[in-house]
Amino acid sequence: MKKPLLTAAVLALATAVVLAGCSGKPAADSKTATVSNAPKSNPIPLAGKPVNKYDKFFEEKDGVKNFYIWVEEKQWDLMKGVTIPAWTFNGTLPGPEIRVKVGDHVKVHFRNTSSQPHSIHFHGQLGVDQQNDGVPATSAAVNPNQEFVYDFVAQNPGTQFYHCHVATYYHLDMGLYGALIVEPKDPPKDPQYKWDKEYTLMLDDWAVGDGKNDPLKARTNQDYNYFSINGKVFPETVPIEGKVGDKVLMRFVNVGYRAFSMHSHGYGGTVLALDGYNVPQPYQRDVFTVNPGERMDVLITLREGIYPFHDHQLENVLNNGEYLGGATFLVIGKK
Amino acid sequence: MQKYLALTLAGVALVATLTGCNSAGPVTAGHVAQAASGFKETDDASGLKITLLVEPYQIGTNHLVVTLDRKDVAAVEAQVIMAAMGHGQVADLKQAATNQTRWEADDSTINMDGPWLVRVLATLPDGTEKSALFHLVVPKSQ
Repeated sequence: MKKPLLTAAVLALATAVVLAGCSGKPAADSKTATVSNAPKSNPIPLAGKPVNKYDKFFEEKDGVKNFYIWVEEKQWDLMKGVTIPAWTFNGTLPGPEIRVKVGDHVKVHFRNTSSQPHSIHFHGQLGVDQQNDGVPATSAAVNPNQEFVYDFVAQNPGTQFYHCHVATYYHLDMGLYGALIVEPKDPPKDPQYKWDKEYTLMLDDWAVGDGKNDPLKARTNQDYNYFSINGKVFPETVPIEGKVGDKVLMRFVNVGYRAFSMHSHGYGGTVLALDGYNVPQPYQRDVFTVNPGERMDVLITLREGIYPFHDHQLENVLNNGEYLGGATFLVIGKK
Repeated sequence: MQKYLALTLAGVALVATLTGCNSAGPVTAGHVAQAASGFKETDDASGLKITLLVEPYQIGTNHLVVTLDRKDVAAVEAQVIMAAMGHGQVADLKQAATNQTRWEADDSTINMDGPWLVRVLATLPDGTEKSALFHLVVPKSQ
């Protein structure tokens, strides 16, 4: 055998070994990083079939937690009389909460029932492999009439979210997002990580009406005039309610373009976690600044009365210039 | 004859007035007089028909009456909120013994004029909560 041929043979053998290693099934102990039955890298076309919504949102089967997500373009009321064209997951804004535990094998079945390509990215889940990451360039955009099954093992605990990653600046801003809560495998023993109730509060900003009916232009100009919590502006935001003494965890998620500096009247709160990571030493605040894409877990203990909790970036508490509205909610402690 | 006619007409007018006032439930003539200057609205968006009456609808202590379209509600509260500030208080309403669709509270304080919110929260026997949000604009003191 000539030397160049020998070299080529060695290289080919080495390449084959590397490729075989890459494509082999993962060892059982690497389950937290990937899964053995990863889906096809291309979405499944549904042409010829009726492209309907799924008839369920959740099903646990054969040890897998299956979630079913679709897209609905719809008119959404930020408040009575203020309606926006929104793109939603499953017809709600935010989309339905996905709640799993660390180590859970998760499949998110995604059916694109709209007229635009979309995808799902699991923001904060760092163990998701590339083809399940929802980024069109490296994963896949799911075109209209296509279905894709995202497949991963939940790895990072805490407050996360999912959102469309096709033209993110636009699609996320149109409302394609929802909360992803990953509970720890075992309940925490430390009492400061225990609470009676919890609320997820997704913060967002909107450009509505009066010559701003081109959502793309309005959004790139960041010309916002409504500021929502879970798709509603004050006074239609949902209050936090409970008995005096209840410990309440608030999971803030900023899915908007701007920072929200949430300020509590009558309460100090304890910051427990940022982006799902428990902070080394929980700390007290009464202004909780949540930057775009960031998550913050804040614990309060309810006291008697009704107190506002509002953004202290004060234009964010206006409804198109009208005070008091926007990113405000009430905290209500009852005897 | 004219005297009897006048008395008859007055009687008919009185009956007609009381009958008209009775359409919202067994309220007294006193309630009717106050309701003319009070706040009254109905909301059924939650699936439960909730009517709120605030009397006398002015700065100071107000009487809250919530009327529902079912009798078996377990609890009713009214969250009275200053709309511009987000502060407020919770009033627990008591069910009227004689009319179980009617719930009342006597001591709800509205301490300034302008926009207020009243969120009525009704708890059904199975624990489900139904709510309605009412927008009030409390007039300035005379």
